[in-house]
Amino acid sequence: MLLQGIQLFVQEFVGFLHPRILFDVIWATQLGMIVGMLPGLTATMGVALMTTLTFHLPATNAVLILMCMYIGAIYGGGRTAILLNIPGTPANAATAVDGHPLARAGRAGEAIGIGTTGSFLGSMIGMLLLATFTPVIGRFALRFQSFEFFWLAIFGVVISGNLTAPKDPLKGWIAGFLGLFVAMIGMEGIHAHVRFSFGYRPLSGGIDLIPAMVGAFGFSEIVSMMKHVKVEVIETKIARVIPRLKTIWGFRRTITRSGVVGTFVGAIPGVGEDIAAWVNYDLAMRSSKKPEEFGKGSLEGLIASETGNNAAVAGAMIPVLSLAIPGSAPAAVLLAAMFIHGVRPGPLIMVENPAFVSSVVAMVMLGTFAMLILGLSMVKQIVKVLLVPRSKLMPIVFTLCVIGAFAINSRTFDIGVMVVFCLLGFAMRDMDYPVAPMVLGIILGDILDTNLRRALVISRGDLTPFLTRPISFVLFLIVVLSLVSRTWWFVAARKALAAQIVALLRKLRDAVFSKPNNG
Amino acid sequence: MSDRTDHGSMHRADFVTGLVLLAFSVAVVVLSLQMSRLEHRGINPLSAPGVVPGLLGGVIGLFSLILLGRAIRNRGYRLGIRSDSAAAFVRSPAASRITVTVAWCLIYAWGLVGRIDYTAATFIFVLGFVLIFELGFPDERPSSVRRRVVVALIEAVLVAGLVSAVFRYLFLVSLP
Repeated sequence: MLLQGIQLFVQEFVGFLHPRILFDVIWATQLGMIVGMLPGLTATMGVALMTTLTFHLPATNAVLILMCMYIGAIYGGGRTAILLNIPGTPANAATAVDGHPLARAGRAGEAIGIGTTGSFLGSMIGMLLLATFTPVIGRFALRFQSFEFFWLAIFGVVISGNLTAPKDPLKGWIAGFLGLFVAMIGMEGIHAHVRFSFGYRPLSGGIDLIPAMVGAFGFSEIVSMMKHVKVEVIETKIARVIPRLKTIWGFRRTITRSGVVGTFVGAIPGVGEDIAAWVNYDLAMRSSKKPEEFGKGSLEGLIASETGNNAAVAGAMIPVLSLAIPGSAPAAVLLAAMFIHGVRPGPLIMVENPAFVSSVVAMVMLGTFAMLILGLSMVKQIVKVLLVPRSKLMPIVFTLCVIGAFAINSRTFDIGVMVVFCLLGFAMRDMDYPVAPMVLGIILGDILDTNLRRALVISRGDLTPFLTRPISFVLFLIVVLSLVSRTWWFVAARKALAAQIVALLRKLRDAVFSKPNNG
Repeated sequence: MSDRTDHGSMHRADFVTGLVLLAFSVAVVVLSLQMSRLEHRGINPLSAPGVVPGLLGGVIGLFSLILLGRAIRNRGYRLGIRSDSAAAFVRSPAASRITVTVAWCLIYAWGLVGRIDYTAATFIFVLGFVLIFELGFPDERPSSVRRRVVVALIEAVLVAGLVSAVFRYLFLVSLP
């Protein structure tokens, strides 16, 4: 099995070694880096816009370009975090904490070099785990029936809501369930009955993910960029960028841990690279010998967050390929792009199209190498992109949002959808509702709808199989725990229980140690 | 103090959002109940199209009640807008930049595209956007008004021409 996997991977990798394809890899990764570098433009928006520009290409080429764009954007945001103290994408917020103090201390080149190497190694670790776990999860998921897919869809929006709105998960859950409802609009998948169209014919086709996503993510980003007049690029000399091997070797444990943890965090539905970076930053600080340096220019903190966020890119692709459930917002766009191109990921992919999984692994490898080469060269030239005034850049971005939303189906209705989601995304951001669970909900809505109704028909209306089937029961428990663990009474009860246990242990200790004295 | 004010305005926003979401969820449940159960096609009633939307409406309703309850507990129902903070917001440069961006983008997407030629609409949008922000909200870059207008014109022509050409001739999209 392993040999067959390696053979497929080599076949796919060699197939990509064509000058034209390599050219695509280079420009897509570079463009991704530029999109990631520009504060306000995120990987999600970059991948969504690129989906609209590559829909005419063959499936493999289009997915390759999107994958490279994704890898490049998550990496590129780190450079802005280091030089401007503004994360280029939300995934690089943790990078700014130590990267910027390093730049202020005149060590910008070193910080960029360490960040690039961390991103490269994180992506490689993620790639290895992607190649290992996708077939395993895919085969395991073959046991899933409608009951399990129902819980998986609910789990996706609940966990995404929990993690993208840590201060107020209720708002994350509301956003997720609103997304699930949006997916109910239009023709449903079992009886072809049109729902919630109110006689308006374009609505009967449903709400397409790409216009909704371009609107919800893109417009609020444009507005937040235009809010301020300009950004300050710090005047710093960028000296030696290529890091010393000895320095990297010194961080081997941090890199390995961050790569593995980053991949697994990325694989949790709808969570994404930003959480992966923060989790790794926190873990690095707790296990560091010099925790006092964190926040003041710690290379360890910088490499932990950059390794973690790029590992999460490959991690986010694991559930995309094995379950057709995205691990992050940009991965959700990639999933939608795969559907547009006729590739159907999910549990059956290892049976129907195992070469595609190897193909995605090869794409990650190509994108990762392109990122390393581009990241360590042309540093000074690329930084100049940050000097382009927003007033000149943003109208181009919005023009592409509008034509991109229109181009996939050539429907003016989709421009309207984009505008509505523009306003919705803007209002949601203003009121602390995360957009990612809503987007995940739009994708998972169809899975939830068809599987719940199928399950009810199979069980003839009996709800017990939702709880008595082993995998279903485990998923149900996780959903309930995810929901309940964030309620105030659960937290209070947990604290009270912990206090009682501590008191009981103290009593026991006193009883044990006082006995000999009494005797 | 400002933190408390921010929390106060968030509770007020939560109160209003809670009400809107509650009304929305009731409407969804009612519409789901009214939805055809396709009896004439002899389908299993458990697979009726309204089952899942009705359930989702119920869950959203439950969440909105929690949100509403929390906002009421924090006195979010006091909707009075403090005139000084509202005036300060309106006067802030950030607010006017946001308003202009939203308005101009909406005029382009809803008002221009599809009504006039796409290339012309894009030209007007890009030129207008650049000029509004370069002349209306000038930054510290040392360049004359004439130069800024010329650069804006060149950018508008290039963007409108290139985007139209690429989508029409390369991607074979019939432009809106």
